[in-house]
Amino acid sequence: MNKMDEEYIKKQLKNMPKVNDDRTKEEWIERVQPYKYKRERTRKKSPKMIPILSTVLLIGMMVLIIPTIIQEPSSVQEQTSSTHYDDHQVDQKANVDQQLKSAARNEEVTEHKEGEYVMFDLHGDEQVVYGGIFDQQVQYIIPLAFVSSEDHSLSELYTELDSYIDEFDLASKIPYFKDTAFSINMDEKNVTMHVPDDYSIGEGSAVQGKFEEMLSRIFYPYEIDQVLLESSNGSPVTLGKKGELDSITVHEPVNENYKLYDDETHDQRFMVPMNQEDKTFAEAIEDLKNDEQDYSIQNTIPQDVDVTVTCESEESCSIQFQDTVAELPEQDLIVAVESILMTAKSYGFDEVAFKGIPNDAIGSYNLSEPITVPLAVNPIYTNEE
Amino acid sequence: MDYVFEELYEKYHQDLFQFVFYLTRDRTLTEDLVQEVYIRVMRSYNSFRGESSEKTWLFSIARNVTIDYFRAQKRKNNLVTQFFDWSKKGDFIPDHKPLPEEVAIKNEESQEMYAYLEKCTVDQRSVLILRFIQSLSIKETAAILGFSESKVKTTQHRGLKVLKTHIESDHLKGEAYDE
Repeated sequence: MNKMDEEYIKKQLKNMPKVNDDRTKEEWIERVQPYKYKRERTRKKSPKMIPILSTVLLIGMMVLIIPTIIQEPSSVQEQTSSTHYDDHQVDQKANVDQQLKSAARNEEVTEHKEGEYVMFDLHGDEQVVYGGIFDQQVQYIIPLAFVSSEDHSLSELYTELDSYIDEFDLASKIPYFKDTAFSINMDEKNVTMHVPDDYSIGEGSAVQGKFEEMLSRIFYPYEIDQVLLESSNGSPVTLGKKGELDSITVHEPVNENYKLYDDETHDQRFMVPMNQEDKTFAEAIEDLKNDEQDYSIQNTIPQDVDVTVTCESEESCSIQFQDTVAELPEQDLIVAVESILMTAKSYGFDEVAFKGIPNDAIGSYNLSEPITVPLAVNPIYTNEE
Repeated sequence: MDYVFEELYEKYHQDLFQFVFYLTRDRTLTEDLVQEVYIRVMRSYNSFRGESSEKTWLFSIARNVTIDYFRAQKRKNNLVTQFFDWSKKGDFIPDHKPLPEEVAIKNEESQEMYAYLEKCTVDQRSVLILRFIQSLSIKETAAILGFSESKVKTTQHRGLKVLKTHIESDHLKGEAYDE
């Protein structure tokens, strides 16, 4: 595109008309007012959250009530008219309301402790179906975590895997799970994958070569050791160049770090694990600065941001950011934090302390304390409207 | 808290409305989404720490609300999958919505540009709207969209290229028709 074309188009865009809203401010206040304190999204509470929230609420109420009790005699003495007393009551009620609303908002914040690309907890009866898709060039498996609270067994939910991938219109669809069904046996630590007679894992050696890795990724979190393949007519299952197979062993994923895959075409972004086999954790973190433009993989720590990794134990490590991090937008910081957390998880750490970030609170994270590694990456909530 | 709403309304409402409108191209839907933006703003204003400007913060929320809506719609109804298959929608979805009055009374070029914008991905459209219709800087656009500045530049370039392709294609068709 030459410069003249570009300037012409820019000029046309700048000349696009202003689109004005003809409603009045008062109409907008009427629209917004009733919803101000309504909960944004109802999610079933995790049982462990209830005592915590109750305690917070109780402490809040006590903080409010105790000073009132202590001050009551003098307050009564000072009251020269019933009107004054009423005002005091009104104020007090307003304070209580405000406190409760504030508690409700705090609860909301706590409940919504979800990352951009990761998830930490399951709520109520939610279950996770681990799935995966490929990047556009079939170089990387993009792990996904479908979170469902449907009243189904895990086997039934895994059998829905293909429809989840389809429903969410995820890029680079794969035929691995088309018309398949799963029977998960947690006691035996195996899964039977029922496939149709004409089952195929698709064309191309890359797709075929990653079949085992995909199965490992989706079942390893449930500590499954083996996937047994079973066709509907009992004949052996032929998987492309791999030939006839009756079972596949589930392997623990190698050490990985997590970068950002930006699928411009489908306007989708995911965190993607990149092989860091034989690299130390510190090296894997340093590698987060490198992107791979050819595969639309973006770094998650800018090149000019220095980080120092210190691991205090096998469970915990800390990441010290240098001054340059102060200039990063919050969104970039969240991506950096989440990619580090997922990388730490891959290396077997339980928590990470972040130091040197000027603000302790970024997104839903409180960086003044170590952060526990996430449960899963790239969550997709299947029941949300 | 009402003063917060009033202040934001006075300062940014028309720009906010326009941003969401150009993304959705539907006035009623825009009203619903802007309402949701204000609700989220009122609920979370206490947690606004002033690290970004108020405007950036407000528009980020608007963008998130709109994207959330698109995604929810996509999940809700597979029949509209094409609409949200952001790589293909330009080819598949004719825009049957009437031109908004503001656009209808403008010249032919503006009407064409309005139609061509629909051919861009949501990211591209967001960048083009913020950069040229709303006249925001690259830095402001990056902050609103949560992009790096280089990503804004790349997305802007791609968006302009999409527009150019469609302009040229339609002009070629027009010439063929004339002949």
